[in-house]
Amino acid sequence: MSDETYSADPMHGGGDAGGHLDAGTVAAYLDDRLPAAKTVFVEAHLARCDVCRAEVVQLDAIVRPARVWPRPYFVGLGLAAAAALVLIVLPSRNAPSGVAADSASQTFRIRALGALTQPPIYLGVPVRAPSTQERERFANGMRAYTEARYTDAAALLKEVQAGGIDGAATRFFLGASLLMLDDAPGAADAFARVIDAGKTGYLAEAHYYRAKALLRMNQPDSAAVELDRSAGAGEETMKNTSRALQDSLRRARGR
Amino acid sequence: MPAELAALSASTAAERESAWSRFVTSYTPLLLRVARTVMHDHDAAMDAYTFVLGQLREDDLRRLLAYRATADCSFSTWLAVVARRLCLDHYRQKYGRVRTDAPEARDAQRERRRLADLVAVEVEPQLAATNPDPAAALEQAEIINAVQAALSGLAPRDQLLLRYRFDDDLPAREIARLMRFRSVFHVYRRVNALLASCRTALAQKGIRSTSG
Repeated sequence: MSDETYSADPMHGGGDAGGHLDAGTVAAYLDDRLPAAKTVFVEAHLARCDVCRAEVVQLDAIVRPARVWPRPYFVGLGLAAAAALVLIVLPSRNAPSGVAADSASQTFRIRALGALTQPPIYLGVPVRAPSTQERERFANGMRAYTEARYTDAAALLKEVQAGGIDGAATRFFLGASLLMLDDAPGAADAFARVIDAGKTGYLAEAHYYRAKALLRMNQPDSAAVELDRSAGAGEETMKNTSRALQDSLRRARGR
Repeated sequence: MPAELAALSASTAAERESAWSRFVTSYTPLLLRVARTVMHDHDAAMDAYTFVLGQLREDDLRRLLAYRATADCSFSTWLAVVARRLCLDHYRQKYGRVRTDAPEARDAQRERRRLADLVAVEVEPQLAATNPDPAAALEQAEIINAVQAALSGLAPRDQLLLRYRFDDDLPAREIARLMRFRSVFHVYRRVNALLASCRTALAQKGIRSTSG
């Protein structure tokens, strides 16, 4: 089963020569570089061919960057929150009154709600771009993101934007990278730009993660508005997640 | 074309030798990952890796230089596909048979696990129970035929989704990654929609689903 036996006619005649997809077609499919009509052809073949399907499943795991799945993320609460914690722990020595300590405690609780237990997940959806170079630049940015190299990811995604690819995906993952770097104002701004783009696949999540950024900036009123919007715009899971955070926010504010 | 590949066409033998060394250094991590995927034993994987390098270098790098003709994909992805196929070749040459868990060996198993059967059980859970009653068996066959007909009318992408989900037993997360769904929830939603369409197809044939 060499590449030759697979590919009597690589990339020609539909790429389904001799019963199996040729190497070039499989690679182009894995890279999302097939035209739509050929993708339909390939998926029809995969639906009935165990051998090619196994190849795609195995190689997809190798050639596409490994995903970074849930990892605790409680850093990035910021020095102010740490200072607030000191005020809570040492109220008798440092706080002028119990009111100040309560306020600091509330601030800490609100900021803590801005923490993430995992970064927004990228599932490998490529960006539409007119050239291979631009697609690769986006892919590099997302590779850095999935490898948790958020500084690199943010820099690369800014380059992608500067190159004119400024769609919702680029804005969203730039915001996500900045959020992971604890640049809450930068993240809030990036997510606002996703929201400005209107109804995209990222709208509900942009509201939600903007709320997270705003919580870190201790702006609970604005965060509550964003959570209302994410609950209104999202699917059931996002609705429930947003409502749960709203409830936590209400509790943190003592309302 | 990557610089490492372009350099392999250098004019002098010394330059080509040096370019080959750089190529091996650059792509060894990828080739080893591929070899380890096909050959789970460490020594066998190293053998396969050596075999792949030998095959790539054979006939003045004929295989590698063929990449130029298939430049609709990145070189590293194409190389991974070619290397995996070479590893399977190596396995066959060495052991003379496919492993029992290789996809080709699943044909017999496959006969028992037709996609229609699996989807039919999802749509109509009572099918999972063996019923010795001939009338019930006939009804079950009718249901499976109806599901088979419904499946054949689906778009290829939807058929592939159901294959991954019910035949290959892949988790939704992996399917989402493979098929570029935005989240696992999109996978679940699409699968549920497809099952609902199968139920509708059954209902239209007068077969009432008990699962709702």
